[in-house]
Amino acid sequence: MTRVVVVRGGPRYPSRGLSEGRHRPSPQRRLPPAVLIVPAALVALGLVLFLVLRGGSGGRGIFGGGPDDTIPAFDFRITKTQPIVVTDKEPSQFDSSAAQVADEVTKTMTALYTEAFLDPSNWRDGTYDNVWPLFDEGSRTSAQQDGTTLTLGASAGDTYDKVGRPKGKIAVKVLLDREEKPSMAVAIVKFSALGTRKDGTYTEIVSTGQFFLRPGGSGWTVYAFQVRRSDHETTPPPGPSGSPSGASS
Amino acid sequence: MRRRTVLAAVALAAWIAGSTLGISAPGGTPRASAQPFLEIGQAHAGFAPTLDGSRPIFILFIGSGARPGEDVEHSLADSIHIVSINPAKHRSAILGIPRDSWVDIPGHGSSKINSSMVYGGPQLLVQTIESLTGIHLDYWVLTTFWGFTTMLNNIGGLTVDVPFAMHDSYSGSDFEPGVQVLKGPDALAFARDRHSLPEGDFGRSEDGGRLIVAALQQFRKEYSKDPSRLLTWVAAGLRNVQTNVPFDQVLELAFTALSVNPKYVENVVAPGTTGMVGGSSVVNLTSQAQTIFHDMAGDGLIAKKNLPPSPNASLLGG
Repeated sequence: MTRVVVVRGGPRYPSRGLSEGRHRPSPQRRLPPAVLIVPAALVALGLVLFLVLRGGSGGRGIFGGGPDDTIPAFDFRITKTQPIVVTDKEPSQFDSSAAQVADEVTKTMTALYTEAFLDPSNWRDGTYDNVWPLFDEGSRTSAQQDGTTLTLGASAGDTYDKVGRPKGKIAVKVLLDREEKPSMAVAIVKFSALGTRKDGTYTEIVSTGQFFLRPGGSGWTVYAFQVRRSDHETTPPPGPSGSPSGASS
Repeated sequence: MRRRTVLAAVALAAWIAGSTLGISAPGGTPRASAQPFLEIGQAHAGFAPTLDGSRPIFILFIGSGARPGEDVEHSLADSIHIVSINPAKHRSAILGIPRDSWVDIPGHGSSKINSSMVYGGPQLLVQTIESLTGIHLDYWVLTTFWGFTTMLNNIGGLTVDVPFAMHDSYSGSDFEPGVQVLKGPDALAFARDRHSLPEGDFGRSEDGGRLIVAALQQFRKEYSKDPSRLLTWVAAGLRNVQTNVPFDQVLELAFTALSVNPKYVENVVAPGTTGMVGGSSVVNLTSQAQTIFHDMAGDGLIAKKNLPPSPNASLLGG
């Protein structure tokens, strides 16, 4: 049984002695709850609508349907590794050394493609500052000039809502020098991802190419490249379209 | 008073909510569409490091006449070609020097140029040619009969447009004219045949240059289809030659060579007349040869007016 206690008039809390008998209670202290609740509710409603709807115009919504900053999980899948030697020794003797280089080269290439195509905080703003240090000094300027092909582009944020479902294969050839040390590698890559455009259509983003890399102080960096983009329209895929959680292969 | 406060609060809340909705509603002012952006379609990006184009590069290609077991670096030079690359103009020239050319060999008096390597290895041959031509040779590359054969087999053979019929039992050449893929032994026979040619060693030297041009053509073609083939070529070369080209420069040279259009490669042989010295047949290089040396030393190229006639002109119909 619920007991209802009705308080009639007078202060709810004991008044301080000083106030008692000297001041009448102020009428403003007895504002009806609606005066506080209604504006607060409207502010809250506005805030919620803002957060929901902002996503639809290129902002970062908090609910499904709006873009978020999650970077799709991605790793290139190594399909082949080949040591190439300049001595008379059998290349197969250097399989493990080449495999180790392939892992390092793949790290560079995964970072490059993640920064260039998958990280929403890059392509929304059209800035790819973390891509260029993966090119050595000799090739960096050319790479930046070719930024439209090597990345999703400066104004990709105006076109895409999402980029997901990345897939990538990589084959690595490793050249060993006369001292049988890895001196150069060629990464032969094929990358694709699904772009969900703001108009509701889909684009398959495709980049194929070969990158020549050399070892340096900060890992293997690109010093020559030949890359082709062949993006094309595609039909809505089955499953969660352009889902950032699309599995890499 | 209470009513006004309520109204003010409601108005404030409405203004905040309205303003917020107003700037965030779909269909609001869109961001300006900036370029560049790859719309659906094809695009290509490429970069290859090349050597500094401020001056030509000169490389001496030597074919050692050593037989298996002999000292490769101190045998007679069987073929001698200066190959220049002008990186700025993307052009090149090949100058064959007849192996019997009678020249001054520093520290050894006058002799056939091919004996220079016997006296002092590739280094003395370089010195001799620099002294003869005034051309500063940046690098030398030395191969052998078997190295040459293996090298060409390693790249899968060389596509050569054989310009005329060649049948010679000495070298083993047996070709009808036309484009054909020469495996190592056939390419060697093509390079060594002088008996099928009216001008003998002069014509043979030109055919050596022809193989270099064919190699450049094929290298570029293979690279354009599959850039990683560069590694195969570099490795095939380095496995079968001796050279003073530093390893990292080999790669840059390879990239630089890719920038040269084979159509703009002049392939000539230093002109000379044959004579006898002490019972040996020798070649006396003419003044036109000196003109060519001087011309080539400048920018690595040979002006049209200085191009000598082909020693195989009669076979070529020219």
